[in-house]
Amino acid sequence: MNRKSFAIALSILTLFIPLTARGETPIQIHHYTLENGLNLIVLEDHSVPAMTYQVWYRVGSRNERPGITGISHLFEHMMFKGSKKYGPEEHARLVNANGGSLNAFTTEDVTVYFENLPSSRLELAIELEVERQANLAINQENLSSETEVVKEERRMRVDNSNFGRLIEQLTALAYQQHPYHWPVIGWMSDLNSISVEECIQYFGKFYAPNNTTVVVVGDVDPEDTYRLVKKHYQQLRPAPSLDTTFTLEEEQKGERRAVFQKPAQLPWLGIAYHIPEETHDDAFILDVIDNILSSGESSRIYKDLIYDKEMALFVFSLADLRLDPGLFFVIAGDIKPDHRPEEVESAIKAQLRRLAEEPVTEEELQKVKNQLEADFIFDLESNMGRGMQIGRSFLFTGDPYYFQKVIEKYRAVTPEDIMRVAGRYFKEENASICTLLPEPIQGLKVERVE
Amino acid sequence: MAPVLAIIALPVSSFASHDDAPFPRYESRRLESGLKVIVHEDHELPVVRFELMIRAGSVDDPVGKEGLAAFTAATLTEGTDTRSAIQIAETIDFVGGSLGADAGYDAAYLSCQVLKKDFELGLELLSDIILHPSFPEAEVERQRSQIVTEIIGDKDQKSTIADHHFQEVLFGNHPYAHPAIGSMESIQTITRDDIVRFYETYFRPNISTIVIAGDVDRESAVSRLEAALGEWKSAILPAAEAPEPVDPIGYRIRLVNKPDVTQSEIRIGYIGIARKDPRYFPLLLMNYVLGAGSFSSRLTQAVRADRGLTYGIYSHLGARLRTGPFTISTFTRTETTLETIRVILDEVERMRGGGITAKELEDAQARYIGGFPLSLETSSQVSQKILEAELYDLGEDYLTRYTAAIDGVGLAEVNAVASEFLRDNNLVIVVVGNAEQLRDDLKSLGEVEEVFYLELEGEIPHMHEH
Repeated sequence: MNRKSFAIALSILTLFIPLTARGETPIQIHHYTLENGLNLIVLEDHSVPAMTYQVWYRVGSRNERPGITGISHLFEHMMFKGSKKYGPEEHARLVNANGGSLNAFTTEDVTVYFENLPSSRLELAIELEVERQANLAINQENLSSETEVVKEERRMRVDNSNFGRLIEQLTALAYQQHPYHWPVIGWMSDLNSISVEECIQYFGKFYAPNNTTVVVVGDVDPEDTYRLVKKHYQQLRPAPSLDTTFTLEEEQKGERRAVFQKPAQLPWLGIAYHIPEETHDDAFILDVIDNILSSGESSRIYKDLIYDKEMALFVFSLADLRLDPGLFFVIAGDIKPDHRPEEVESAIKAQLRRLAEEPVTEEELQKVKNQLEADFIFDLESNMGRGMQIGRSFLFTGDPYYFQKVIEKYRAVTPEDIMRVAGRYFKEENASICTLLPEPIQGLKVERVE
Repeated sequence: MAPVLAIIALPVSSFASHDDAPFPRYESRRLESGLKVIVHEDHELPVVRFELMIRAGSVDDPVGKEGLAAFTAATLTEGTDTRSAIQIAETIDFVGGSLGADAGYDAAYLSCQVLKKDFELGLELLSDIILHPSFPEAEVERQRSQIVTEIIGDKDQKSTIADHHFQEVLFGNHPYAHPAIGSMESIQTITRDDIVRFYETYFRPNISTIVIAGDVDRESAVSRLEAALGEWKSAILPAAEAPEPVDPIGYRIRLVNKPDVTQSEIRIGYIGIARKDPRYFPLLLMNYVLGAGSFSSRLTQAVRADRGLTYGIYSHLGARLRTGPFTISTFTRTETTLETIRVILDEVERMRGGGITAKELEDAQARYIGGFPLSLETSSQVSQKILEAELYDLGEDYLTRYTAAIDGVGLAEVNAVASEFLRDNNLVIVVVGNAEQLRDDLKSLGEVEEVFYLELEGEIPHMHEH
């Protein structure tokens, strides 16, 4: 899931959206909680006879331990393999046959399932989701089959991908103690050894109603939705308290470096700085910094490294705000033959230093605020987009209205805030740097062509 | 817990649709210059999108200058007579909008997205770019460097390598044989003059359509557009060549050796149809059942769900302006490459011989019909669909007729078309993977041509010696 689009989507234009339409209808977010702890959040929009039905579980790779890394994501796959009532893949076929599409994704922090269907199929969506949450068929046959699928996914996304490998290695370098150290997809050898018992335990612990938030956006009535959700979900029993202690990441006290070789045409470079969690006071300022650095072709890093210096095919930044302290990434891909990774690193660090030492101009700051506000409006266009904002707000901050409240914070950011935050986090001792170097290809003689 | 209220003000859309109300026929206006203008009003949010489509693409690349259309599109936004590339970037970035141009096989696109309040700015930028691009020499070179780097980087992407080899083997000398990006050799030969000439020849209003979608008023948008693009002159275009692609004979198998990968890329396919082919709707539905319907498709069921051989497999109809490629694409670990190919060929043969079932057809139709309103949720989705209808000349009532067209396909028709269209022979198989471990396996399918993955583009300039 693209976090960058999330970060941008969280920046909304509060109440003032210039209106030209025939009228303005106040929209309300409705938030309900069932006795078993399930949260339901509903937002109405009757412009299209469609809706998104999203189920957010507060579980991700963060909840794993060595030996079962990748289990959250593998489990996401298992959720499509059938239940008491439905055979393997039947859930998906039913959604399709009712005019809908569906998918799911797993991150470090959450696992999310969604169906986008005609609004007349609301009860179908509820029924299907409850059925697999209550009665999933976890057996060796399904597990073995889906493990092979996930291993292919890993090979595609990581083992045979420069970008995937770089992010995996960089993240593992930056985190030494915390569960964010291992990739969401899991280490290959763990994938080979996850057992049915471990899956069943995992399911019982994390797929309980008190760890579940349902988000519905679209052509629905909130009270009807609540009634239907309650009718189907109330059978689920809550799990015991889910408070889990996580191994805390110790403060990094010195720059870390790693180099790894991979068959590749050109080098790649990744830098990561530790940043605080989503709910921290500095978090939204990091969103602003992220945009100053790489949003649009007039942004600082693009203009300097890509346009002026022509160092690489692309460079981008990303403030990856998470439930626990996250990372601020700057990634350069396909560094051109006449530049070296060291140069790219220096150029990036010079830009970060500049942010800490020199106030941004009012115009530049206004530009970024305009971008954040415009992006939010564009993201409001689909039920799916709105659902994602609400779900993320609630799961990450406890407040489904966070994406609205943060707008005022963006508007209030000053050049001094940016200098302070840049200075605080973009320090040498807080940096992890990973370089992918092309591994020589056996037996291939490459000739210089001038 | 009582519901918590918060006010987020969103205007009610002026376009209220119901399950069974057909999509309204869109209105177009043709300006004096020949430019076709379509406005889709959607007042749900204060956003506007301009999408200009020019019916010129990589099929129009001169031989030896493959990549020219894409190169031209990439450089189009990098300067006008009165604005530098930086100024354009700063202007669009400041208002939080976006602007971009690219070219595919059959068409080039220039799009601009802004908030409603910046309608005039968006229109001004778009017009300036299309009417007065300056193609500065420095920008041409900058783009060349980017394109070359991308071509080099593509050598690491086994999926891209597979696509390029597949289209090369299938299309031979046909204009669809080369990727829109071009090749290392051809990009080096393209000059600024070539770009300017391509722009002057092809970027003309009489082969173009512009869709303005969003919070606008139709009449005033058209009149503003007319004023802004009034000086765009039409021209007589060179006659488009339309050679018919030649079918492969037997199994044409190419193994592209990339020794470092642990997972092979597989492409199987043959010459398909053009978009206007009368078999389009039956084939669309057949293809959904074969491999485009995700878990509702036979290939996903057989290859992924039943056997765990892949994370993703799909079949693509590839119906373009001219006859395009029918392609089945997937990837699997090296050791199961042959098995995967055999399963695919078996599934295709099963459908060719036995057709699809009534339930499969019904479910496929339900997906398209039931999902139709969802596919038109945003103004961006609507403008994409309109441009599709325009590119392929499908008629202005295309969207209105769509669900009826899907509904009207019968089982006998699909199965007749399937048995004639699907093949057990005269097809192309491309595999990108570790040849050491694959070549013997693949020889069991037939004669195999083997190439090294770095051979296609020739020497790589400026590569550091190891």
